[in-house]
Amino acid sequence: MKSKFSSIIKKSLDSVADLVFKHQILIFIGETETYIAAYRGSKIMGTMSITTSQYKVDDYSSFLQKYKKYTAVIIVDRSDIQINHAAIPIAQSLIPTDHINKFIQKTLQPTDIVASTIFDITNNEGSEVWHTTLISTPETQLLMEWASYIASNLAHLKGVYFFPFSAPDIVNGLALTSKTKINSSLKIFVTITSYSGIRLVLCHKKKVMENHVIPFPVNKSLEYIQGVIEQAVSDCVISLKNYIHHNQERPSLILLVNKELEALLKQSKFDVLETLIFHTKNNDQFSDQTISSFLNKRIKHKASNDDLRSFNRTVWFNALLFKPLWLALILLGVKLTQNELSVVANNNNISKLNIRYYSASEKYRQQRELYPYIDHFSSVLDFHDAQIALTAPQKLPFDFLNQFLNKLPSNFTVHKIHWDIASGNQTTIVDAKYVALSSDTSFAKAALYRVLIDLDKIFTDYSITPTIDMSKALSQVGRVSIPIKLTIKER
Amino acid sequence: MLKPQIIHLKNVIVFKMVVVLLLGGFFFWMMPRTQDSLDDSKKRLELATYELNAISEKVTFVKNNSGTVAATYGEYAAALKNPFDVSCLEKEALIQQLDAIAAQFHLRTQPNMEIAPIPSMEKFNNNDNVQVMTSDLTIKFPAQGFMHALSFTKAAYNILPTYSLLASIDIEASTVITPLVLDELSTTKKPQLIDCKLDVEIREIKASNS
Repeated sequence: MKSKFSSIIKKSLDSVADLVFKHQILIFIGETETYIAAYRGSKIMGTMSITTSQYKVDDYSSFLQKYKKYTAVIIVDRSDIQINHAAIPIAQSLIPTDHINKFIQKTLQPTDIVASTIFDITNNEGSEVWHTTLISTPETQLLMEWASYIASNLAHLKGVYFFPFSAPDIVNGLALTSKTKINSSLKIFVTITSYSGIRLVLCHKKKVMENHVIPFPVNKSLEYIQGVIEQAVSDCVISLKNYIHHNQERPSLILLVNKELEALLKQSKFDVLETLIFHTKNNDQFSDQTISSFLNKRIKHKASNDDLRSFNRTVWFNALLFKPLWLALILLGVKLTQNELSVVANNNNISKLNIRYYSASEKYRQQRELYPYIDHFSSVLDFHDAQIALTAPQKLPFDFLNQFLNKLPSNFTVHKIHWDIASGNQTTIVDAKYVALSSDTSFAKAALYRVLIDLDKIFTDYSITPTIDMSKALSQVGRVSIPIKLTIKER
Repeated sequence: MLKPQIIHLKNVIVFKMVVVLLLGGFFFWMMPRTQDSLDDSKKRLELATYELNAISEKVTFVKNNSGTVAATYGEYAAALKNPFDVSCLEKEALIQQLDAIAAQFHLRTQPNMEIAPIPSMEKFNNNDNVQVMTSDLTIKFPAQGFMHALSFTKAAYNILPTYSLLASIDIEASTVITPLVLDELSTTKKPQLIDCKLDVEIREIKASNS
């Protein structure tokens, strides 16, 4: 009984959570594996990974069946993605132009999936230049299979994204979470993921400079992994020599690893400004969950190509147009059904009333036989009914009006009284003038309101509504006269 | 690679559109018909309820008031013999009675009375043999003050026929001095500067034997 009750509570809480939180599935297409993490709000609901070379998208069906209403996000984290930097000169034009898209169309294949970000805008002698990072990947079969699968089986494809663009946000997020300050704007971010291996991303502020994927050395000692990381960082720093010399800024190294590797890496010597080491969630060997939880919260720089854009437009049109139409049809259907049910219910009631009518008619016939001398028995009874109806006592105004006129103070001069009874409700309208022995209009008005309050207290069964037009109040020597209209109704 | 999906989605949109149009058209075609049918069933239900109540009231009345039936029959028979001209005579008597009361209340002039019968008669309980005839009676008279006007109104109402219904009273201080008022000015009594109007519905039950 107790377990049944707790399961009902759990289901109710889950239903509420389903309504409140966003539901998202992050699909990381990596170098060696594809890793999937399903989130409800910030809570991870399930994960799965399969080696890339061995699987087809359908292998995920049984896992994804549980998350059919989730929005899917594809994150590409492979070595075959291309990072390009471009300085796009912006020609001033009256016609608004999408300069970046134009540049992409000129320089890349139309099938390439591209994401871009502007990391700097310079203005030299009136000519504006946008410094842009473009990350692109060819339209691989695996990627398109995923997009196609999501379109057919999940709620919605939010978009395709590239991991390197998210690296600066992850680094900032890690620093923010542990309240650590990163002193250099040049950052080398190193972590280990199950799906891509050792990941190294070099970025300067928003600019993603380099992206390296180093295969994870399976069945090797931690010291070996430490060595690989040291080598990768060292290569990166060497490649940065000119950049460091030019900008006079040494890089910060940010590592996201487990505690065992941290202990070893603390002993390593890197030629950097500072080394900051952060832990993976639950001290996991791989940072998959840590990264996915960051990207679940915020992911930027959606990638696209013509097919994806056209696909998104169609999905958007499909979702937006039909929801209100279905709703309108459902409402119409409900109204029609309600009408038909009411007709059936009315017909049933009529049948029941008819049965009772026949029974009453039979009694009436028997009673009528008791008065054989009355020809028009029904008319006689209706005549009696008419007498009863017409002699119903009427509400008369005499007592009330008498009392009202008697209770009205002597400084009221009544001009007109109208009384009528419409729909059984008595209404009395009294037109009068109130005269106050004062030259102060506001004093006279206050005195008038006091009289009205007194009248209200006397005639509790009536509501007295005054209409006072102070613009018509007349102030003479030592007297103020205020015209007033009282509408009196029975409560 | 996504092209088949896009084509599929477009096909789905067209299919949905056709379904929406067909369903919407059908619903809009059905809506006035179901509404008419509902209104008709409501009216029939109301009629059935009314008829059942009417006959049930009659059954209950006859069961509980066996003596009254005979008395009512007497009144009905009398009403059958009461032609319209007799009714007019009753109105004549009413006018005389009102004049007498006006004299008692020392009104400056006799009350001005108008009786206008409303031509259409209302069938009672949908019965052609029992009809209610209504006349509008308007009484206008001058009075010395508001209380004086109210007293006369009350006295006049008390002598009205049984089924009379007081509809409205208007009492207003005169705003103009007429020659009649000037004639009346005297040092011995108050002038009657209040105009009063009384509207009454006089209702009569007419019986016929058709």
